[in-house]
Amino acid sequence: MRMSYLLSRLVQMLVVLAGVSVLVFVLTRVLPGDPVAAALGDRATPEQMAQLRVEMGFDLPLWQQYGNFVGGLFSGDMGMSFVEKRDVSVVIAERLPATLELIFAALLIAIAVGVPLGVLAAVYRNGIVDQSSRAVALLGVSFPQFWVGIMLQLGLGLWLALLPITGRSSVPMPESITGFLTIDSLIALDFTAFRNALMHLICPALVLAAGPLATIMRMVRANMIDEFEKPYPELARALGMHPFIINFKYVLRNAFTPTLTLIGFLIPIMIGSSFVVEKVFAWPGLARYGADAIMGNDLNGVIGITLVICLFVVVLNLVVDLLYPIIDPRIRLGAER
Amino acid sequence: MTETRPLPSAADVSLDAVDDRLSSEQSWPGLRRFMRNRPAVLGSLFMLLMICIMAFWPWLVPYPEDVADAVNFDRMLERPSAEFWLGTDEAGRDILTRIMAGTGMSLGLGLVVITCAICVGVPVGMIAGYYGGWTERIIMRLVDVFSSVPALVLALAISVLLGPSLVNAMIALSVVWWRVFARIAHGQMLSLKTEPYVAIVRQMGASDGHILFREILPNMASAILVTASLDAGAVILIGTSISFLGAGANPPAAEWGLMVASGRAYLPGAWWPSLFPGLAIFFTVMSLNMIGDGLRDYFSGE
Repeated sequence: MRMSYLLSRLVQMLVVLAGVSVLVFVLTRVLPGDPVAAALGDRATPEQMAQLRVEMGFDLPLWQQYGNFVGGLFSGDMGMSFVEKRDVSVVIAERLPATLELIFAALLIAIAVGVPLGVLAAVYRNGIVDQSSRAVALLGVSFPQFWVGIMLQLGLGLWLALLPITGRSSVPMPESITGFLTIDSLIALDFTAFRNALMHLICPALVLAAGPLATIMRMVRANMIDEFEKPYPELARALGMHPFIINFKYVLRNAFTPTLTLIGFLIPIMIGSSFVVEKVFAWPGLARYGADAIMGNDLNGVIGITLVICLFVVVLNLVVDLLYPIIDPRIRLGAER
Repeated sequence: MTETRPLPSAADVSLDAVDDRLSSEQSWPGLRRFMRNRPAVLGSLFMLLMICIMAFWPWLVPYPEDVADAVNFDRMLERPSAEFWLGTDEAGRDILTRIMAGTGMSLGLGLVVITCAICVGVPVGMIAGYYGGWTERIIMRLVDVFSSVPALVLALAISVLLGPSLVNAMIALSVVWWRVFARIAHGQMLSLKTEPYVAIVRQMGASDGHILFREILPNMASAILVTASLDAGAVILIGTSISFLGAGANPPAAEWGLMVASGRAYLPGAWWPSLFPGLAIFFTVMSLNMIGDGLRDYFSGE
């Protein structure tokens, strides 16, 4: 890989981040929602509102407000959150691990289940796995997540009493190292805490994983079938190679690049979905704060959260791009197309 | 600047004639081929039923007065029964009535948002792909910016800032969704503009507008149609989520996401106010996806 490629990608990322900051900043300032009225409530006097407006710098021209905001960013200051009455950056740092744990768990489920099922569906084409995978894929992308979340809470949580309904843990957790409760409790060898954290994670992660799982499964199936059309699987079979090795080591690897692209596309969608899922499961993460901030017209919170999400998305997309040549050595990043 | 001359009419006529003959030969077997896809037919039939309900619900619903803010203290949270097929909600309103009345809100949202997104996104994406250079770079970076914020988040924020209502949720989703069609049109344009017929028509003196919208656009219609039918479901899911979170339709509207949200307070005792509106969303989106899958298979010749 060429250094210039990485450099140009980094510049591209910065352009996108700057674009998002301008977009969200302008939206929050130009659209009619009034953050000051929302922050002070109904009983605020006009003087109080005017005073807060000056304190927050809302009386300055737009470009000056944006300048101040960007200046603050470089010193890690995203302003005060109206909803939390604390610095936005503090709230984000505190809540980010919970959301990351949820999203990574969901992504892990989606890949670990979706990929093998996709392979099976392609190998036994039109067989029972393929037929049911088609049905599962249709269900996975068709249900509203908030509703399935509620139904899981009702069925598994309340009626069968198998899983907790809300929150992230209900027993004391060991000291935070990674911020991921499941990993922290494993490091501390506290298995009660691990089990508790895992039980809390299952339902929200499943709801979040269902749609991506379905799409990954269908994508793997389609690309596996394309690969089977080529002569090399037939040759490998003729050489007496075990079908498992052929399918998973050779064909899947060749068929995986489009799935990697798909995963890059799925990440922003999953973050969006986590706004609903965290709200339903009272998951103490960034997305729930984000939803509260949006609903409460907490402008600094909205901008901060959006930028962090955007950063996460562009970084993960870069990671996905850097993985291409590892999975498929024919791909040269930055080469002239 | 090249001089723009009217296209030779003889060529036009003969091409049109060929087109007509092709389409008349293909349309009926084409329909038959689509009809062989059973899920797609099932989805289409269900969608037809929904459209009928959307159009005629005032005459179909069993309790027309329950659509808005009626309160019936004598029949609050009643279980599903012969009298109230899907039970009643916390204000004693018939849930079946409200689900039927809410059909138009969800279908309408999907239709309006997808239409607006196509009208903005397709021309923008086509222009980016056709002209290339800085035009393309600026437009596609803008698409990147819009794509790097999750659709639900951006739409939710815009809807709240405009003031929560169903119409504002539609506006917000349209602002978010144009990028999907811009990207599709851009990708299609890159491959279509190298086709020989484009060079020929340009040599004949056709204007850019003619080339873009009369010659190339029809050739990307199938890709746009497939995306539109698949995305309509996704738009409805996000739209109902926005209402569920409280940034879309306002009470007492019979909006499905809102109904799930208000029914949630009465769990686990009363499960029907939140179960059935969710099922309505689910079946609507599923039938749209079945149609979309069918169209995709149809156009890819599977």
